Amino acid sequence: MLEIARFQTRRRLKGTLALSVAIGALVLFYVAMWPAMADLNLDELFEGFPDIFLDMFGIIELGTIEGFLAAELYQFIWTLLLGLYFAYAGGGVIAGEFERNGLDISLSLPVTRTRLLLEEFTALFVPIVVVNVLVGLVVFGGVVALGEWIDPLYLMLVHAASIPYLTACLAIGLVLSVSLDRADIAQRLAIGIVFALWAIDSVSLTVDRDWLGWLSPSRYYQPSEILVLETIELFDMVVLIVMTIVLVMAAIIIFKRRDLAA
Amino acid sequence: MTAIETDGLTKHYGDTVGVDDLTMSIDSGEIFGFLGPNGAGKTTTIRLLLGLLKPTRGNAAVLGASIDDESALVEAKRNLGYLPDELGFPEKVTGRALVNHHARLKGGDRLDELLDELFSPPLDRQIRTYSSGNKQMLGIILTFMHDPSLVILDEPTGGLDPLKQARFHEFIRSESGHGTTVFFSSHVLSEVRRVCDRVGILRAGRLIELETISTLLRRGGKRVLVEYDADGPDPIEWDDVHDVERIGDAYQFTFTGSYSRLLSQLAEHEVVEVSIEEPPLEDVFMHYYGDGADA
Repeated sequence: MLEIARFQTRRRLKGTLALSVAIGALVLFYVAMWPAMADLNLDELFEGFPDIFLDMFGIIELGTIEGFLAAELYQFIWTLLLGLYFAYAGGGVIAGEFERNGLDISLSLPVTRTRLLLEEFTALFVPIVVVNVLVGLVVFGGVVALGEWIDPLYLMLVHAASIPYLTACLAIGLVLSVSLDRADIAQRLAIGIVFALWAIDSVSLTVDRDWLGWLSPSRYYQPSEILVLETIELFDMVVLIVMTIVLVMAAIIIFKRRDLAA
Repeated sequence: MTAIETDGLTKHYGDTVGVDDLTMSIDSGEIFGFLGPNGAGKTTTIRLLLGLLKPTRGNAAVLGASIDDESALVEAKRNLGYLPDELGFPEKVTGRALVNHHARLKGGDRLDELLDELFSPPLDRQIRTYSSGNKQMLGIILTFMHDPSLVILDEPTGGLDPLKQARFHEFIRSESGHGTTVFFSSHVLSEVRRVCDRVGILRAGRLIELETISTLLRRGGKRVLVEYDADGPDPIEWDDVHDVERIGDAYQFTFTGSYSRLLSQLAEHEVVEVSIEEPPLEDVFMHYYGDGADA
């Protein structure tokens, strides 16, 4: 088992490391900015801002390094950019192979469609974990190097909680990937949907229509609450896992039924 | 024993017919030529056999496994080699990485032998740098590396140079000698003639003929182009001559009689130039089945 997942993971190794390095560099940039930001007394600055702005970026406080990182790094880069990235990656999986006639060869091997799909999915789950581990270490190292301190337990939890979130985004891409014949369309649509869900979730909170966002994965990943308030909702993670299972099962059903060539 | 069997196999895409009511059976150990012009439904048939497409009607069995029984078909694929028409390899891996990947999933007992003997693409380079000939050779290795009992080849010699083509044809014949069943799809009559025992002709999704090669050849005729030095005879007056066309001083026609009669008739006058070839497949169809075969 897992031969396909291993093969695909190795193929993506460079990309995964490049992603980790790029985000790691961005993280170091943010962390290095922190002493200057701390002097600015940002909480006072933001007091005059409308709630919608603070809610959208999950700003609870900016006067501590936890609050600063939660708002700048986790609410934005992790939730939005990485969410979009993995939705995009998921969108390319099967549609990409379909497009270059690769499924002909992949499915001439003694593997079922279900196995192929699950292993391709697994191969994209690996980068989610790797990016979390590597960047988590960079954040901790950067903060410590700056002479500051961040609780490693909640830092770890904020990363751990992002894994089901990013996996759900990946699963959205996967469903589109088995439904559409062209990778670029599946990928763009995946980005569009994840972005729209994130935006609906953010806006719904500020207009007192928070039920609008209950389908949005981002509703169930609250890095500010974990890092600043030091609370974690296990229920949120369960919702994300259930969401992922439902999406992957839908992808399997679609993939098993359809014609895999023009 | 039967390697491939289809029963009323039909695939429609909306109003377009991919394959229509295809019934045929291919015995173990035979080299079966699946002949037809591009777009006749050859690749569609193969993709149905591999379970990539779902039939609109009818059924088929590959090595005894029904194509609508996924787990049985997956088991059968352990003994199946498939060389697709378009080789959609991942570009950014080396040939060796892909070969090893396939070996882990289906075995690779014959890998070294194949690489030594015949087909040696630059395995340590990334596939994106491969020429079409190298890609084709990699495809051939992947098709035969696990010593399958049935191979399905879709236009297998497309990217190969003539020398490699000849070696490949020889290889196919020797594989068949060891009991491998070969399903050989092609639009090139001469290739199928050289390699195959029996041939099925597909046109516009329908199987219009199942023949032995000798029957096919007898019916296929020869394409003759002849130029006389002075006023030669008009070949239209000979027996077994069809489709005469005058091109400058030369005549082109199809001849369905024997070689010796053709040669003796040609030699009655001073010949400046002559060529005798197999007719393009399209012409064979046009002549023997008429335009009505489209219907």
